[in-house]
Formats: sequence, structure tokens, C-alpha cells
Amino acid sequence: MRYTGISRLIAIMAVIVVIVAIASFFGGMYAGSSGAPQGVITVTATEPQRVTVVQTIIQTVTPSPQITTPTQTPPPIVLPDKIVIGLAVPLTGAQADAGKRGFWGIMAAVKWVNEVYGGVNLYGRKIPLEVKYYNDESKKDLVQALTERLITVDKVHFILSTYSSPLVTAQAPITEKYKYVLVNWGAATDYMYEQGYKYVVGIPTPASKYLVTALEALRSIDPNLKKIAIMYKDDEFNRASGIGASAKAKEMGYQIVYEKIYPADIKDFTPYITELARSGAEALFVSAHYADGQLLSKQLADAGVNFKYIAINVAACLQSYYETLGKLADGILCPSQWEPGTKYSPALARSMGIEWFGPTTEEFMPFFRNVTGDPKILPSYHSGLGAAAVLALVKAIETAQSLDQDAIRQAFNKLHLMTFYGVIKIDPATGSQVGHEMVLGQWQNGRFVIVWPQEAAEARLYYPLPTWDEKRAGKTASY
Amino acid sequence: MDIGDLFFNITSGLILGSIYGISTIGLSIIFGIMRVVNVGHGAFIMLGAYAAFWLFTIYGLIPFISAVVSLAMGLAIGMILFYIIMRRIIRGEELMSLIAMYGVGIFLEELANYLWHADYRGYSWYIGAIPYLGLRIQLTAISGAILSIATIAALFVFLYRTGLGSSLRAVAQDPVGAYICGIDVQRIYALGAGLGIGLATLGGVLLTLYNPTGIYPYLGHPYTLKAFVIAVLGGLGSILGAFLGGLIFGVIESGATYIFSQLGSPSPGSLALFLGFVILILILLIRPEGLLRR
Repeated sequence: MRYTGISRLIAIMAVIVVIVAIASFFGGMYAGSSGAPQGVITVTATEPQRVTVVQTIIQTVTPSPQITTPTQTPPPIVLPDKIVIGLAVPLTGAQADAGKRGFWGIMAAVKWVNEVYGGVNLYGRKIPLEVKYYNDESKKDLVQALTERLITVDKVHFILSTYSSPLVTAQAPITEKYKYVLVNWGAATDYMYEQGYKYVVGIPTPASKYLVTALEALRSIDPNLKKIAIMYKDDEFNRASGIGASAKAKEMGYQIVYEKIYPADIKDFTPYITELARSGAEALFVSAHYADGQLLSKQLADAGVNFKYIAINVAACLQSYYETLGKLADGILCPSQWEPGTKYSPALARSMGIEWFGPTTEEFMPFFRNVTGDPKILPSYHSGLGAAAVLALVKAIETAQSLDQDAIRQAFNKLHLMTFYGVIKIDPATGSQVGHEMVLGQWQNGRFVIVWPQEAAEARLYYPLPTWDEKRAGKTASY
Repeated sequence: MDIGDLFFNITSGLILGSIYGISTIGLSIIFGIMRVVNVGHGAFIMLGAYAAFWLFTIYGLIPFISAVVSLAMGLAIGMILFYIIMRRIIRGEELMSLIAMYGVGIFLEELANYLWHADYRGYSWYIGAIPYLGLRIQLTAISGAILSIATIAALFVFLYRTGLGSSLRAVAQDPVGAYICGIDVQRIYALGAGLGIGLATLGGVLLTLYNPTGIYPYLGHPYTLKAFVIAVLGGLGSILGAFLGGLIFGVIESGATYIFSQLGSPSPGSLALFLGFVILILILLIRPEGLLRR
């Protein structure tokens, strides 16, 4: 009886999976044709009582509506003792690694604001920042519940996003519902800015531009190379990144001889690698995350399938990539939002006529070390993104001289500044990031160095890559 | 379509499938003997993968040795888990065992996250490769398949040629009858739990022989789903069925992905997964008890 029961249960689950797959297939055919997703429709339904509560909260912390600038009006009657930033962040679960790194960046930036900058300047008074955070366990439903809690129960002033495109995609409808600005440092998917959200502002360069830097660098270093292959994982971020790379490559005149999407939880790339080997592609561009990026590299090396140029998103930027693959990782390129070696400085900001705000990378490092408690942990691009989100928010508050969400959203539109993370400028219409540029890093003799754009580069791009067998024999990708 | 490439993929699928099979047998044994549905199965595979990683990176122990260490570790963990948890739920409803083992799985994952953090780790152990149909197959992957086959052979010898093995089979068939015959059923249950968990941790080591990357606390989730599909495909509780199911699943995953890709699908891996479920449904419609279960 029990065997049959379990078999039936599994059979029912399998039928459901098949039905969902069919529905997804046909649903996908209509993707992008119109409208907001169902989730958005659901959460934008208003709940009068809750809206009243939120309005009350805002009134207690918002300066008088007549006060618009510090020079024109006296200080408001009520200013908070502290500005509380709410944060749901994945400290456990599938996104825990990146979540923790981003969290450390946020905390380090808050520490810098409070201890060096002295707090947020509101009407001449320096108000310290405080972070109220919860672990969202990398779960979409928990992100939504915790975001709602931060707004309605904890009554935080502002919300910083969680990390990862799927989680922030789930979070945004909640902040929109309460008309809270969502400072998005964790989702690079372009989807965020195609939904008509009014309160989402982006810090990262959108996913569709991730591999563009790698394409441009290749064109510059080898104008004659034409045949390329593009692969990307089937999830929100990587789909946007892969499709963006594909469109840009065609625009640049590349011949895409192989383009495939692979499943999110892939455990074996062999079928793809057999085809790549016969494709004639000379360069490979991959939009991957963590495990899949490591696996593809390992299996390419195992099968002995070589390319002159390999760029892999996200996975290849991390120290764990080199630790896993060792010398096989040498020469692999990775587009990154930011790396500790990136050379943004007050002098560069001055030369570009842009305001500089925040610590330099060197000044940021002690705060980061203090937060992690482990001097061996270096900040990753997640850390840079988290810190930049805090700095941008502080600047927006100071620009608005208000804690009102609409005033802050408007202030974000006016921002044009440089931080150690790079330039921050928001597209007023969509809230997406238009000022920041990706950098391209390459593993060279065990070090991940910035090689592109040339003005920010630490080292010359090594090209063409040594073969996998040459790397096994000890050849490195450094001049 | 290149027939050589298709055969390469089928071979690769068989190698991976044999490891899937051995990783699934533990699930089948625990269910077969105790009727406990171990939905935390993937967490034990994760422990095995970490054992291989840490023993290699800290002590330089090759995965063949890690496999033995991991099997022993899994045996001990399984027996301890039996006396602490499984013993209490063995006569309960299946839902109770589902929830309890789900909790165990979460506990182990979060413990791993606490101890080793959520970094994606991996190791490189290169012992050479053999040329095959224009590409190469790593000797580590082949050794993983050989170890899988050796393990299932040893398991059959244990079950059918030793007294303890006979006791295990007797308890699986009729625990009351086995008790009347003088078998210490609790002890046999503990052994079954140990064997099941031990094979899962061993499977974790063998999986790293094929794929030594992406080791992190939550790596077991997709393997849990795969293990259930494979176990049901082969027949829940059937050891040989689990192994055969693993081979079928591996070949479908690899071969069908290649074929769908050659037919022009932009997302062949998803279609192959879809096909895997269609085949599962068809088999369950024809033989609800699975391929090899009577």
C-alpha cells in the first residue's frame, strides 16, 4: 500500500511538473508582449488600514512639507535620532555567500558614514544610520514577509534590497505597494526596470550589459576574430545577460556560431561541450553563477576544448573559482561590477567634473575588515554594491533634505556622483543604473586583475589564452 | 547529428548515471527496510562531497580513501540518527518521517553553512584522461563509475552471502516474522539506517569524482529530487532498480540534451528534463511499482 501510495504521489508530482513545464513553454511565448506579472497585480491591491498606518509613520519622521531646502526654511520640528535602514538579506540558503558579502559591504559603509562622515546631514544636524536586518534565508516568500514587517512593524525609514535577481524581483512589489523607495543593490536583471515600478532605483549595471565589456575588449584586442559562442543559465539574471550579449554581438558584427540556454541546476555540461568542440567558435561568452561556471570550466578543461578567449560572468570573479580550478583558471576573464583593484578616486572624479562621495577603496578596507572580523576576507563586487547603495542613499537624503519617500526618489534622479564603486547615475524614467560601467578582470598567475577598460586597468589583457594542457603544464596567462 | 558525439554523450550519461544510481540506493534501502522517506537525502550527499573536499585539501587524501572514510562516517551518522530520531517515527505515518527527515536535512545544511560557510568550493585532482571519439574522458570520472559498480557488487554479496545481509532482507520483508525468528530487529534497523546514509555519503564522494566543483551546503537539493525520481523509476526499495534507474536517468539527461540541441532547441537541457518526467509518468502508468519492484 505504501509503495503504491508513494508511487502515486511521485506520479502526481511528475504530472504537475509536466503541466507547469507546458504552461511555462506556452507562457514564455507571450513573454515580453505586455503587462505586469500576476505577482505585481496581486500586491498592488491596496489595504486601506495598512496604508493609514504607514502614512502615520511617515508623518512622524518626515519634516514639514513646507520645508524643501535647508537654506530656505528652519529645521523641522521632529527629526529622528537615527535613520533606520531596513534590510532583508540572505545569510543562509542558496544566496548566502553573496548575501553575506553584500551585507558586510553595507555594514562597512554604514560604519564609515557614522564614524568618519559623522552621520547624514539633515538641516545641519548629523543623524547616524542604523541597520535593522533579517535573514531572508534566500526564500522569496520570506523576503516579502520580512520587507512588509520592516515597513509596517519596525517602521524603518528606508529599504535596501535583498540579494539576487529572483529575490529582489519578489521584493519590489512589496515596496511599491507601500510606496517605499527600494535601493536595489542585489538584482542586475533588466526585468526590474521593465515593470513600471516607480520606487525602485538600481545601483548595479543591468544584466544585459554584463558581457558587453568583454565583447568590446575582444573587438579591440583582435578585430579579426568573428566566430563566437554564447551560453547562459536559465534564470532571471543570466537570461537578461545572455540575450543582451547576443544582441550586442550581432550589432558588433560577430558571427554567433553557437548559442544555448542551460538549466539552472545543471550537473553535467557534456552535451553542450561536444557541440562547442565542433562549432568552430574561437571565443566563448558565458553568463553563469557560481557552481555552473566552475563546472563548465572544469569540463571544458577535461574534454580539452580550447578557445582563444573565455569570459564567464560572476563565477569566475570569485576567489573560490581559482581555488577550485587552480592554474586552469588562469586567463579566464570575468566582467565585474567592481573589484578592490578598481581605480576610482577623487582625482578622477574631479577630472570628469563629477562629485566624489564616500571613502576611497583604501579607506573602505579597514571598515570592511572590522565588520567581517577576518582580515583574510577581501570585499567582492557584492560588497562594493552594498556599500554603494548606502552611500547613494545618504547622498539622496541629503539632496532631498527629507525622509519622504517621493522626495528621496526624486533626489535619486538628480544624483551624479562617483564613489569607490564607480559612477552612480539613475535613469529618471525607469530607475535603472546608467552611469556605472562594468570592469573586466582576468586571472593572471593566480591574481584577479582588472584588464579593461584600459583607463582602469591594472594589467594588460592576456590574449590568446593558453590551452588547458599548456596551463596544466605550468604556463600562466601573464606577460 | 554526429553519431560519435551521440555515443560520447551516452557513455558520459552511463558514467554519471552509475554514480546517480549509487547515490540513490541509500534512499531505497532506508525506505525498503524501515519505510522511512528520507527527504533529507541530499544533505548526506553534501556531507560526502565535503568529506572528499576537506580530506583532499587538508590532508591530501585521494577520493578513493575519502570514499572509505565517508562510508564509515555515514554508517555512524545513520546509526546515531536511527537511535535518536528514526526509531521514534518508524511506526508513524509517512508524513511524520517526511517532516522529521526534512528537518534533519535542514539541520545538516545549516550546520555546514555555519561551519564552512556558503562558499562554492571544489578541488582539482587530475590523474589523466583517455581519448574517446575525438574528445577526452577523465580517468577520475571512469574511476567513479568503476567504484559505483564495485560498491553495488559488494552490496549484493553482503545482502545475499552474509548472515547480517539475510537479516536485513528478512526485516525488510517482515519485521514481525524476523523478530519471532530471533533477529534483533532494532539492531538491524540501525544497520539499515547506517547503510543507507553511508551509501548516500559515499555517493557524495563519487559525485565529486565526476564533478568536483560547486561544493556548498545546499548542493544536495537537486540530487534529492533526482534520487526520488530514480528510486521511483527503478522501484522504491529495489537496490538494483535504483541503480538501473540511475543509468536510465543519466543517459536521458546526457543523450536527450544532445539530441534536442541538435534538433535546434535553444534550451535542450530543460527539454531533456521534461522528457525524463514524461518517461517517469509512462513507466508509472504501466508499472506503478517501478521497473524492478515486484
